[in-house]
Amino acid sequence: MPGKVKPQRESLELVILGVLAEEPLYGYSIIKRVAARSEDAIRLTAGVLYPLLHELEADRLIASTWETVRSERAGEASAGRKRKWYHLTAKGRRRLSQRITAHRAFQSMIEAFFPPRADEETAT
Amino acid sequence: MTTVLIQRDPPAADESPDSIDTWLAVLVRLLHVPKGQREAIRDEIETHLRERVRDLMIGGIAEHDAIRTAISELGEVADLARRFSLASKLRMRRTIMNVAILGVGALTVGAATMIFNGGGQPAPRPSVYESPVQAGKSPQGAAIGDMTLDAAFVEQELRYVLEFIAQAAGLDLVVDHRALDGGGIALDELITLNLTRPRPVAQVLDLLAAQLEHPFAWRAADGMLEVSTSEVFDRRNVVLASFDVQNVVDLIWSTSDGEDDATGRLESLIVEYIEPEAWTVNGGDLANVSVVGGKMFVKAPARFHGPIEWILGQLEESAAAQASRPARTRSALGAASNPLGVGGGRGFSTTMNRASSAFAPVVAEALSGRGGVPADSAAPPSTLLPTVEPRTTTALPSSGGGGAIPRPADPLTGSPAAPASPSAPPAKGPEQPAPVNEPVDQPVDDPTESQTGSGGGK
Repeated sequence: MPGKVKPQRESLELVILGVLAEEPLYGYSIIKRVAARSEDAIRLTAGVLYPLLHELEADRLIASTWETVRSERAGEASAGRKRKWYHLTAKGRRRLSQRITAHRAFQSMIEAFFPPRADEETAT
Repeated sequence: MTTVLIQRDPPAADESPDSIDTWLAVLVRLLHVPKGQREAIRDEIETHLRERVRDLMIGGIAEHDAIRTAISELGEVADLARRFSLASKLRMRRTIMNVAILGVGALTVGAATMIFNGGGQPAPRPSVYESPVQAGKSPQGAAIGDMTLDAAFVEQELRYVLEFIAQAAGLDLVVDHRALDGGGIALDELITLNLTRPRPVAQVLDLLAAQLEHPFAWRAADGMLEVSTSEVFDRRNVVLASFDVQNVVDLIWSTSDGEDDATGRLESLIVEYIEPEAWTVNGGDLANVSVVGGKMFVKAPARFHGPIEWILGQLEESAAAQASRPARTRSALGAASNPLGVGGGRGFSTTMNRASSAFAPVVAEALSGRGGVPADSAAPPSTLLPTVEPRTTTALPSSGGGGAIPRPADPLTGSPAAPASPSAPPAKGPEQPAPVNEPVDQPVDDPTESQTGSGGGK
């Protein structure tokens, strides 16, 4: 398992848009999805995630819908809890695409300065 | 979309009031966001906490510890509230932009309706607030308002466009780089603006600002074209004014079917419709409003006071219309609003006695920054400035010094003016407030010709 990382805000935005590009998710499920996908290397804290989701929503990169979740033990009269599902908007999809392109370009540029790996050295 | 899902329940700890409820109550109190958003945030975070606690308990952690862990993962409650409040400010800015776009659409539809109704009765038209700048009647004389510009800019950096305009208008360009940087306004932004005929310089500047994601604001005065953010200009032009709102409060009280928070409703109305994010009640720090003793005190940028006056004028019209209804109707209304029949209370007769008062605000010279003269011509000087001179004008300390309140000098004797009482009746004769929208002479200490643009809002 790779070591724990604390991603910067821009990286977090990329990660969140990335997981929401696959399917709509609610806050807690985003945390679990990111942890699972990164083999627990990226742990989003709820205190950072929820305000960021609201920022992305205000910026029209994601949109949300509400779902009422009724408890099994609660009676029929119970209003149930509300769960907020987020999904990517067209603008968010464009932003994600731009971010991925920029990230890959940056990564390849930086990698040009790395020494070759041991297996690459032996191959040459 | 709202769907209902039946969820398999956690082993326990899902219903009864507990430390999660207590923590949520604290969070909600600290949130500086509109009420609807506050409830939405509470619902979302509560659902998160309950589900997190459920998962931790399934993993073998005791309920008490699970709750503590789930809450601690959200961090410091004050910090979380602050983050939500910041996100909400961004949301409100977007909303205001959308409302502005819808407003233009509504006007277009209105024009089309008039065309189709051309042969028949004119359609009822709404009363629409028009700022002095929008209406092209800036009473400050317009340092550049009469000048026109005929030019085309194709992918030119904003800095060069501004330099060109300032030079063409014979003004020195003063750019507040720090404010622009802070406001996300880049001077190297490329501008394309193709004018097919000469346009007023003020309009050209507004069109330029509107091209940017974060519009700049400008001010033309004293031979300078200043470019900064609307927040900077607003802070320079904070005005404390009072409005006589007794009629309006009575109107709200008498028509709200038992609602006893008429002053709160009036304050909410003002905050809701005029740049909501600027008000302290919404987490802003530019404007404040309180209704006390039949007066509404507003400390806000000068340009806010025109729309406020207009809203109050609309309500005053309703109050006057009610006052002119037949006596029987009034009695019924009065009885409904004063079921105990106590004389001297908030009965409808009180409203009638005051139905003729105007909404010219009394302005205190609590202006920040530059000596206390509102230089922002976007405010309605025809109603604000004339009342500065005589009446109950009081100069307040520009910063909290705790000392005695300085009073403006008597313009004739040079000695301090008599103590001003907020409750003192308006002076008679020439010192009566000017009727709304009636042009009045400039005050003696009026700033030089100036015109300010906000670049189409925030």
